[in-house]
Amino acid sequence: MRHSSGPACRAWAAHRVRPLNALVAQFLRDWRIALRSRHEMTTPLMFFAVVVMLFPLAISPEPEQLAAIAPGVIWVLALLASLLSLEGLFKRDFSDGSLEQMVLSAEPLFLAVVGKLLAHWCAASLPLVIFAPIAALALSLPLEALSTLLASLLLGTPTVACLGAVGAALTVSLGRGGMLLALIVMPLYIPVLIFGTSATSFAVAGLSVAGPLAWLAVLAGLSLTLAPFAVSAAIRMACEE
Amino acid sequence: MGMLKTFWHRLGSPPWMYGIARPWMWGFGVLAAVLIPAGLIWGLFIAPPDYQQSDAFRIIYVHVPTAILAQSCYLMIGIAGFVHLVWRMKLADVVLQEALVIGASLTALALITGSVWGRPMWGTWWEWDARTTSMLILLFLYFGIYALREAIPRPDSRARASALLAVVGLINIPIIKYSVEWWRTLHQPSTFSMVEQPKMPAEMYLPLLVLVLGFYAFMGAVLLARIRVELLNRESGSSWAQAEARRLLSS
Amino acid sequence: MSNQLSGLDRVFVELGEWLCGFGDGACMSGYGAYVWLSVLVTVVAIAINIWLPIRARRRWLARQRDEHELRAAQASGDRADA
Repeated sequence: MRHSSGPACRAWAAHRVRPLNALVAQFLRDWRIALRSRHEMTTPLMFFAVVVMLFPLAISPEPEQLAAIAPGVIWVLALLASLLSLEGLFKRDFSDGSLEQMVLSAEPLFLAVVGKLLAHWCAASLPLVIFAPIAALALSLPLEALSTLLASLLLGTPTVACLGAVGAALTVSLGRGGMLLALIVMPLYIPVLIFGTSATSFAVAGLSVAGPLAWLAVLAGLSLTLAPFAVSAAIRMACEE
Repeated sequence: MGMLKTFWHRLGSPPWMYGIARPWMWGFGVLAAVLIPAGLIWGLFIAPPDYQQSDAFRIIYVHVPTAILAQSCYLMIGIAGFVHLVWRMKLADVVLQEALVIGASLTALALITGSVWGRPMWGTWWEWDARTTSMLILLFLYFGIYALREAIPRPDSRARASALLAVVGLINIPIIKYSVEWWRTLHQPSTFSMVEQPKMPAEMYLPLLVLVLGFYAFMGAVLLARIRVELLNRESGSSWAQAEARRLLSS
Repeated sequence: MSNQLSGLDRVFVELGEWLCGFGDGACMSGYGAYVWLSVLVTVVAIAINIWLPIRARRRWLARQRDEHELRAAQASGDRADA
């Protein structure tokens, strides 16, 4: 009974009262770090913008041709830009030891991982989603397809972040895992890419977009519930070394 | 139940596995050596030509078994990964590592024979149809696990990381397959299915069935042979491996 | 038929017709030679898959033999010293 006032017990009690404590704390911590190091947020965005500019130069400035490839270009670039930001998702925390603290802490690792993923999505994917309509207009995507493009990105990028986080956690202890990360996660991204681009293309063609968007929502739900387990397991492995 | 439990525990013992794998390897090997030539002769020479595709349809007798096996191999890798993650069984990592090489080679083979079939049928060596694309993605899933294994120097971490990736891949495969099929619905229906009644006449699909069984036996034999060698490699210093070395060297 | 085709297709069709010279069994109509190509590729792949574990086993055994010989040489060297 002498433990009743110990720190572990208090943490346990706090955890009982607010089970999402770890999640919120981790989210706020990562979000603040992301705001402080703004270049990590803006570099993928600028990468996205500069590569979008290459397509009219490489293919053709004809609006019809550009509009035909616009959904695919934007989605592929969103995947590539997410790889850029994912590589650093766990790197700093791994090298300064805070990832290990996360594993050792009394709070469930699963919740901390969810908080981390949410912060990453807000810092890395959300700016991209907001910028995408500008890129879409530059690529002559018809205005009526814009809302679908936005919806597909909003529903698709959580899955991208979750799957990418699994790859990032698996490669975090390796020196230069960038190329390897791409090789591991790109095949897993394919369903998101297919449903995301088809939704946008359907909208351009005036077809119903409910099917692919519903699939994106299902995939987001699945990956949000399953991926944190895989990420936690991979983080544990990385910290055990 | 008790027997099953002892079997499970014994699976973790390399010398036991090394010993028991030998008769099974030869059994599968003999079965494959009978079934594959028999199926090939039956399919290539005796089965009637297809009324639409004439003789070129006979490519399915080598293509379909390899394609089925390429997917079964990934299923096995995923299960081995799961077993390794949950029970930390070292043998599961050996199975994963060896099935990886066999599975990747079979996937590449299925892609090559599929492309050879595509040339006379579709007039092109490469067609982005649903099954070809799924197969290509499967090949990259194999490559991903292989590259991850190559990149991690410590055997223990390598085993666990690749096991996790294999399980993640296994969960994703049905989604990937469905999405690719959805993407390409204009497509030939599957030639052969274990569940549905095949639309081919019996004299055409029976040799295929023989070949599928033969290829499974072949994969079993090669997998067990690879596992045996890998066990020797990993346990070189142990007393049982040394005894085996002495036995082999003296004979 | 082969006159209308060009390049590789023609080679394959002519190969298929040439194979007919070996009897009805080898004769495959149309693009039959493609069947033989895919069978050949598969047989080569099977052979490689069989050969790889055999080679690995031989290498392991060769390594063991070297180690045993080394140990035997060391043992006889020790005896000579004594």
